[in-house]
Amino acid sequence: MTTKADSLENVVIVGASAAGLSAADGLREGGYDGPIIILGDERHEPYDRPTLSKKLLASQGEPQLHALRTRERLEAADVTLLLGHRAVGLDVDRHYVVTENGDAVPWDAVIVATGSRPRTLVTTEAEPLPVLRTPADLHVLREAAARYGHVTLIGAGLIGLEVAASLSGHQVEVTLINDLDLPLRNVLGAPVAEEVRELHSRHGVDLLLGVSVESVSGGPGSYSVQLSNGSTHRTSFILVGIGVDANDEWLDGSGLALDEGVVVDAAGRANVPGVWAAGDVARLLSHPSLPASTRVEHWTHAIEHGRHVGLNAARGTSVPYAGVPYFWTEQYGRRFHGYGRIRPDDTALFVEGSLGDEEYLVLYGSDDELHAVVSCGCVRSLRGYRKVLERNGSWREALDVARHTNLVGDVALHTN
Amino acid sequence: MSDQVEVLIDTKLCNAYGVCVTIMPDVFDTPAGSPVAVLLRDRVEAHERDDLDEAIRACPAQALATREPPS
Repeated sequence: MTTKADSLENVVIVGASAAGLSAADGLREGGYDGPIIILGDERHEPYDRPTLSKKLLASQGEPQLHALRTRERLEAADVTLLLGHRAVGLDVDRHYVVTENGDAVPWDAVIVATGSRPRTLVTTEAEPLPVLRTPADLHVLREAAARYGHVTLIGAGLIGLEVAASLSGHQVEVTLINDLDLPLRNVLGAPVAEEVRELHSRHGVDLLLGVSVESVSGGPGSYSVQLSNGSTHRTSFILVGIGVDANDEWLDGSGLALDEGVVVDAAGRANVPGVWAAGDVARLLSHPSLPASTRVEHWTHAIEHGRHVGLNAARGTSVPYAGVPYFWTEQYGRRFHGYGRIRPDDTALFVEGSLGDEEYLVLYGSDDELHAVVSCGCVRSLRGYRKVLERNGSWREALDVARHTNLVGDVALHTN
Repeated sequence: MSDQVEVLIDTKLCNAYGVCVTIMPDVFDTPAGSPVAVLLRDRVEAHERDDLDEAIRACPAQALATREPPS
């Protein structure tokens, strides 16, 4: 029995999106009933960010953002949400979070959930190029797509490809520039990534793959992109999607261990007592089924890790986090879902359907270990494999699941 | 004295992402072409509550809720 929550009197959560809000829920679920203050930098009420790239781009009219938490629900949980309060410093000796407004917010536990932000590129005129992260970004992109009818995407991660699929379905010409030949290979695995590349190609997306961007000049309406193969690409509008960086600069010099994110143990504790981190910003030193020192930048990770850290903070416990990374994406009407992390040497095994089918399910693993499962349309089958991943189970156990569902007939072996 | 709870989907919020289906495929489904998820049954048992709570948390659209069934 631990009654650590009794000694907590003041918890501050920095960051008002998925991880931070879930941490507040975890604190309450874990029995902490004292004050919770959440500091958010944006002025919007917390909203469902995945919808920006997954749905709103294609919708008509003003974007309708789903609220992550209603005011009523926050009030019922007795959580104080302070929007427009960007944290700029953490004082670990006197236990304050300092905000850009000059406030010093006291804490005896603080949960850092400041998330991540898109990397961008700057033009030769030193102007940062647009990204997609906020409703304002979405507004700019939609206007530009309507005005110019042509958008060039630099980078082909999940968001870039979702945007490409969404725009090309709406009579917008799309060019996609990516330094890798096979976008999303590390997320979907080689065979599925090849099919997704083919889908984009078939829908008319102009793919410039295996080339990198040397420089960009110009501005909206007339950009000139110098490519590593010596050619020049001209376009009216550019959206950059080349990954994200942890929002941890505000902690420089605080005494917290930082390594492209706040370094936390398996329980979510940072190196300074009373300080925790959750979600995108947290670099997990250890995890039962992931490579050491990993950041996970997916929606459900933010939710589950946030809650988990809130529970540990409330109870004074050190329960290790074991949630398996999960993503989903929809492109051209196909829904892809995946659990786990594919590794470079993994073998791919189709246990339902096969490539080219509308629906299929692929396992990835090596050395009798299951590392990941990716579904196209077979979402109902994922649960069993997910359970295997959660207990760090073997390839053999995954095959048992496949046999149990009586779905392994002639299995096709693809090697990455 | 049923330990069941009732599951509710707010179809105005649901985007048919299918996250709930990956967690409870015997409760939720996203039929091809449907703009929203559907319920295969609207009651879950006490031993399924952890999974249901996870599905509720994981829904990006916050479209899921529970209600104690009328006795």
